[in-house]
Amino acid sequence: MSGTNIVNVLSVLLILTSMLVVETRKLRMAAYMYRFQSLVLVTIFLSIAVFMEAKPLYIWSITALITKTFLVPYLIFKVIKRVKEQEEGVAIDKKLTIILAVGILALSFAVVEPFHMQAVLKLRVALAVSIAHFMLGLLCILASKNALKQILGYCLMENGSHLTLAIMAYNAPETVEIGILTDAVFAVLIMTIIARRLFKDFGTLDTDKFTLLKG
Amino acid sequence: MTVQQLFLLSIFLYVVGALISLGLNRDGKIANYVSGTTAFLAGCTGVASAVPVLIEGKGFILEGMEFIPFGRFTINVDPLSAFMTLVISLLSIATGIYSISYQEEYIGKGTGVMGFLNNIFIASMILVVTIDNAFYFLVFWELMTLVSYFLVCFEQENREAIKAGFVYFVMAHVGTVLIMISFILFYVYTGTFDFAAFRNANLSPVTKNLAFLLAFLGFGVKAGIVPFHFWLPQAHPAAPSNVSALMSGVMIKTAIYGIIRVGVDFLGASAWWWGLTVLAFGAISAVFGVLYAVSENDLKRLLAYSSIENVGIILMGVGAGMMGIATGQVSVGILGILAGLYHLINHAVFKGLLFLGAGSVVYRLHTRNMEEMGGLARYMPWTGLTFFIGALSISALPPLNGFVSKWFTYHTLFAASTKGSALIRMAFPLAAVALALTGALTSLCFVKAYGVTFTGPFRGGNELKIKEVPVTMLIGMGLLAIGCFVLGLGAPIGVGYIANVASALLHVSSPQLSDGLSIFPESSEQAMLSTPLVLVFVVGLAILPLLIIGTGGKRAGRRVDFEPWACGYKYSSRMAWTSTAFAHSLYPLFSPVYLLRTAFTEAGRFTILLFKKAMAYISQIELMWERYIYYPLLHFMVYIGKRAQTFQTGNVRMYCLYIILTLGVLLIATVR
Repeated sequence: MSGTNIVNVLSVLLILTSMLVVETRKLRMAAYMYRFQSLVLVTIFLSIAVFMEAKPLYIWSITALITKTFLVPYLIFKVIKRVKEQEEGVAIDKKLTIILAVGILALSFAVVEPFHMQAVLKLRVALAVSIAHFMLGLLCILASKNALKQILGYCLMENGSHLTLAIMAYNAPETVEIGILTDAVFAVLIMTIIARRLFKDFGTLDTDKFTLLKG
Repeated sequence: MTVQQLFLLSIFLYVVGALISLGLNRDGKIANYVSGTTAFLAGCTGVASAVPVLIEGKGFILEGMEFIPFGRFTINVDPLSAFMTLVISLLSIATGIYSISYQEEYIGKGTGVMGFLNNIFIASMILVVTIDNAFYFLVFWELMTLVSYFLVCFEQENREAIKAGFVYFVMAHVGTVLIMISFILFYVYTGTFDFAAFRNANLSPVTKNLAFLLAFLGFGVKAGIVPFHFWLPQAHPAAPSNVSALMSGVMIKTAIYGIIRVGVDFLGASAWWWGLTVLAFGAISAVFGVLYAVSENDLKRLLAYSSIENVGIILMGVGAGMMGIATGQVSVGILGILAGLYHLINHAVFKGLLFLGAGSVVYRLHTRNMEEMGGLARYMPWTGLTFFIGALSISALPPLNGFVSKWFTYHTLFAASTKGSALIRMAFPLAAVALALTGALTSLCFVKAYGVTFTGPFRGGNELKIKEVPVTMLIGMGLLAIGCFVLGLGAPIGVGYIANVASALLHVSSPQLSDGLSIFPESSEQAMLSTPLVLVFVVGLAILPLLIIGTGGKRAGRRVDFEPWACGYKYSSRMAWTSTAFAHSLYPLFSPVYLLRTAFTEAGRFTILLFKKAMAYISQIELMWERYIYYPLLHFMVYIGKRAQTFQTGNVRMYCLYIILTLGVLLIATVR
C-alpha cells in the first residue's frame, strides 16, 4: 500500500469517528470519541510526515498529540464532572443528520474535483475529507442543543481545518502550527469556563434556553 | 522671516499652546492664559504669512515627508488658501483674547482640555484650507469635525448639548462620506490623491457631474444649506460662545472653500447648470435661514439660523460666478467669486462679533432666552455698542462691510441675468428678488435681536448683578467691530486683492474694480459705490442736528431716565415688545414656512373645568424639515433594522446554520 493510500484510508476513518462524535448521545462517550479521533488525526500527520518527508510535521504531530488527545478532552471531562451527565437535547433527528452528513461529503468531493495542484492531487480524498470534516463540525453544533456538545463540534471544525493545513502546507514552519494549536486550546478553555458559568446561573446547558442573553 | 516660516510658526504655536494647555489642565487659570495667548499670537503670525501672499498674488508650497506611499504631505498656499488662512487667523486673534476671560466660567470643568480642543480646532481648519492632498484633506477635515464635536458636547451636564452633538456628528459624517466618494472618483481617473493631479484630471462629463454633485452636497451639509441645515442651529449654540463664533464664523466657510476648490479649481465649473444649482440652494437657504432666524427666541440660535442665511448669500455669489465661468463670461465669473469671498470674510467678522456679543450676554445672564433680557445696553454699554455695530453690518447698512459684499452680489446677479438662455435670464432676477427679501428680513431680524436684548426694560430677574464684561472680552469684540469698519471703508483697497484671488483661480488677469475711493462692478458707468464718502455723508447727517442744538436749540432731556407713557396705566416691563410678539406679524405672511400646529383647538366647558391647570401655551416653530424629511427617513431605517433583527435569534445553532448555508453556496459557486 502506497503512502497516499494510507493517508486516504486514515482520513476515511476520521470521517467515521467524527460521525460517532456527532451521533453519540452521552457526553462522556462523545468526548472519548473525540479523543480517539484526534489520535487518528495525529497518525495522519505522522504518515504525511513520513511519506512527504516533511520534517516540521513531526513536531506538529507531537503538539497535536498533547493538545488534542490530552488537554482538550481533559478540559471537557472536567466540566462534565462538574455539571454531571446532562440530557443531550437533540435538535435534528438522527436519520436526518446522517443524510445531511452524506450531502456534505458529496459536496466536499465535488468541490475538490477541480483541484489539480501537484501536491494536493495525490491526497484528493484527504482534502475532501478535511473540508467535509469542517462542515461536520458545524453540523454537530447545529444538531445538538447542549453547549458542551457544541464545543466538541467546534473542536471537530478545528481538526478539519488543521488537516486542510497539513495537506496544503505541510512544510509550513513549526511556529505556525504551534500557534494555531495553542490558540485552539485557549478557545476551548474559555468556552468551558463560559459553559460552567452558564450552568451555574441557568442550571442547564441547553443553549436554546440562553436566548435570554440576546441584545 | 519668510512667509513659509511664519506659516509653520503659526501652526507650531497652535499645537504647542494646545499641548501646554492640556498639560496644565489642573491649573485652569494658567491653562486659560496659555491657550488664549497662543491662539492670539498664532493668529497674528497666520495673518502675517497670508497677507504677503495676497498682496503679491504668489503662493508657496511646503513639501513634507512621505509617511505613506499614497499621501504626499504637501501644503500649497495659493491666493485662495491664503485668503482662507487670513479669515481663520483673524477670528483666532479675536476669540483668542476673548476666551481668556470667557473660559473662566469653565475653570474646574476642564479648561485646559477646552483650550487644547480650541487650538487644535483652529489649526485643523488652517490645514484643511491649505493642504494639497485629498487623503490628508480628509484626515484634517475629520479632525476638525471630531474636535468641534467634542467642543459642542463640552457641557456634559447639558442634555441638549449632548443631543445636538450627536446630530452634528451624524450629519457631518454623512457629508464626509459624500466628499470621500467624490475624491475617490478623482483618484480612479488620476491614480493619485494629489490635488495638483486633480486639477488636470481628464474626467468624462458624466463623472464630472457626479464628482461635483457629490462634493457640493457633501460640503453643503457642513455649510448648513437647506435642507441639510437642521444640525446647525442645534450644534452651534450648544458650544461655548468663543467656539460658536469659530464654528459659525469660519468652520462652515471651510465648506465654501471646498465647493470653490472642487467646483471651480478642479473641475473648472464646466457645466452651466452647476452654477444654477449652487445659486438655487443658496437662494433657498438665504430665505429660509432668515425666516427661521426672525422667529427665534434663543439669541444664539437666532445667530445660528442667520449663519444659514449668510451661507446662502455667499453661495448665491459663488453660483453666479460658476455660471459665468461655464458660459465664458469671465467678468461675471470673477465678480461672482469676488462677491462670495468678500461676503465670506465679512460674515466671518460680523458673525464672530455677534456670537462673542451673545457670549458676553450669556456670561452675565446665564440664559440664552431673549424674553429674559432687555435693556442690557444700560448695564453693558460696550458690549451693546459692539453688538450694535455687528447688527448694522449684518443688516447691510452702508458704509459697513456687509453692504459692500451684498452690493457686489446684487451686481453679479444683474450682470449674469443679461445674457444666456431663458432659464438663466429668469433664474438670476429671481435670485436677486430672494436676496432683496432676505435683506429686508435680516434687518427685521437684527432690529429684533438688538432691540429686544439691549433696549427697553429688563425682563429678567435680578438686574443689579449685571455689569460690563471683563476687558479682554471687550478687546476681542472691539477688534472685530473695528474689522467691520475696516472692511467696509477699506473696500476700494480690499476689493482689488480679493479680485486677485478670484482671477488667480481662473488663471486670468485681474480686472480693475476700484478707482480712488470708489468701487464698481465691471465698469464705473454701470454703478459706483464709495464707502468713505458714505461715511462722510452719514457723519454729516449726524453732526447737523448737533450743530443746530449747539447754536441755540433747546436741549432735550435724557429720555431713557423716564418710563414711557402707557396710556395712563402704570408702566410695567411686561408692556414692552417681546421677542415672540416682534416676529408674530410675519406668521400669517409666511404661513407655509411657519407651520402652526394647533393641536387642541376647542375645549368643552367640562374639559376646561377639569384641565384648566394642565393647559399650556407652547410657542415653538414646527420642525418642518425634520417632520417631513428626516423623521420618515429615520422611521424607515428603524423599520429595516427591526426586520433585520429577526435574523438575529440569539441562538448559536441558527448562526451555525447561516454559516453552513453560506459555505455551501460559496463552495457550489466555486465548483460551477
